[in-house]
Amino acid sequence: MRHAQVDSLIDRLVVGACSPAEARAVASHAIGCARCTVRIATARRLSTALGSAPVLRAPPGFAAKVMNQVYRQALAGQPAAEEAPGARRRSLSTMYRRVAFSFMVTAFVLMASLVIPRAAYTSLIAARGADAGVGGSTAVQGVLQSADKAVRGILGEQQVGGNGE
Amino acid sequence: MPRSAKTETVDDDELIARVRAGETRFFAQLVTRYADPVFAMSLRLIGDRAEAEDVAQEVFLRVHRALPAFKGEAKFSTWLYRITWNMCADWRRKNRRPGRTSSSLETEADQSDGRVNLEKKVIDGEEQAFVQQALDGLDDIYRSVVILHYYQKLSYEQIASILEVPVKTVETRLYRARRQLRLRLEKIGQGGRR
Ligand SMILES: [Zn+2]
Repeated sequence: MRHAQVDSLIDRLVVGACSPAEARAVASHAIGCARCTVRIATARRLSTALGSAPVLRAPPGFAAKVMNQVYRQALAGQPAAEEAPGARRRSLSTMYRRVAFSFMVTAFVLMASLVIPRAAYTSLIAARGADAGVGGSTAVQGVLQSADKAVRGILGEQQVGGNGE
Repeated sequence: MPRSAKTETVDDDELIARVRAGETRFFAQLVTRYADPVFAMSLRLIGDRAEAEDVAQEVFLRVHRALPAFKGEAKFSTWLYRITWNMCADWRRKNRRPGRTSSSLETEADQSDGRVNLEKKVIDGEEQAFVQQALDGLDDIYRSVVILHYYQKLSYEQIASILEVPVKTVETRLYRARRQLRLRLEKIGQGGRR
């Protein structure tokens, strides 16, 4: 057997993948060949080194870190947790609606308390044949317009806020 | 083999079934069982401890997300290692730096002023690092099979499944990888005798 033939068998020899006949031929060549003896020795050392590599361990706390993220991932998959900003938007718009409703109720009460007595007063004056209803009516109109403007303003702000997000 | 596999009474399939049924806490047992091999594979393929830890964590997160789709056609461990290998391969593609994968074996010989002594390295245990450097110089296709077979202790069949190549290809690559490693080590040995 020649050097080249031995060389082609060495890497199989050291992992026990050669036939008994091949193993014997390599061994008999190596007895008289220092070069191939060194090659075989190197292949065996390599085999030993690969087979005895140190076991690498995950860092301490690795599993806990992973599970922490797994639970975060699971929670993030639920709409309630994921849509917190949307929930805030909803509560803001609810608040605006309540304020607007309060304004309208206030305006109505104001109108009722001013217009109804004024109407009664106007009918009384009319019954007396005098024209004295304009001043009170203007005041009520002014209050109503202010209330309406305020409500529109709030509703308009809500509309802008809702579209903007 | 995973560290605690022998002492666990609940097998992977049962744990997977429980996790899929919504009992997330059972995923912790899978993580504990496979933390070491997944981290080890990541570290050996990536070469940086902090990066390997990040990738290994992401592997488990991805596995958890993909668990509902896991059909059980391959063993869980093989599927897990395939995901690990793919994510490490992605990392290497994104983070490859010039010269990173070139052999540093010659550099080592130069730095030690030609006094590299292979026999001594065997005796004092430094040969592991020495072999690792030789390994870093191999092409990825050879390096991968060495890591998966010798360091991760995976069978040819598992490696074939992870790399999605025939078993015969794994055998051939492993043979060529061993040969290339030996030649590199021989070269160093000769350098030491000069
Ligand atoms: Zn010879």
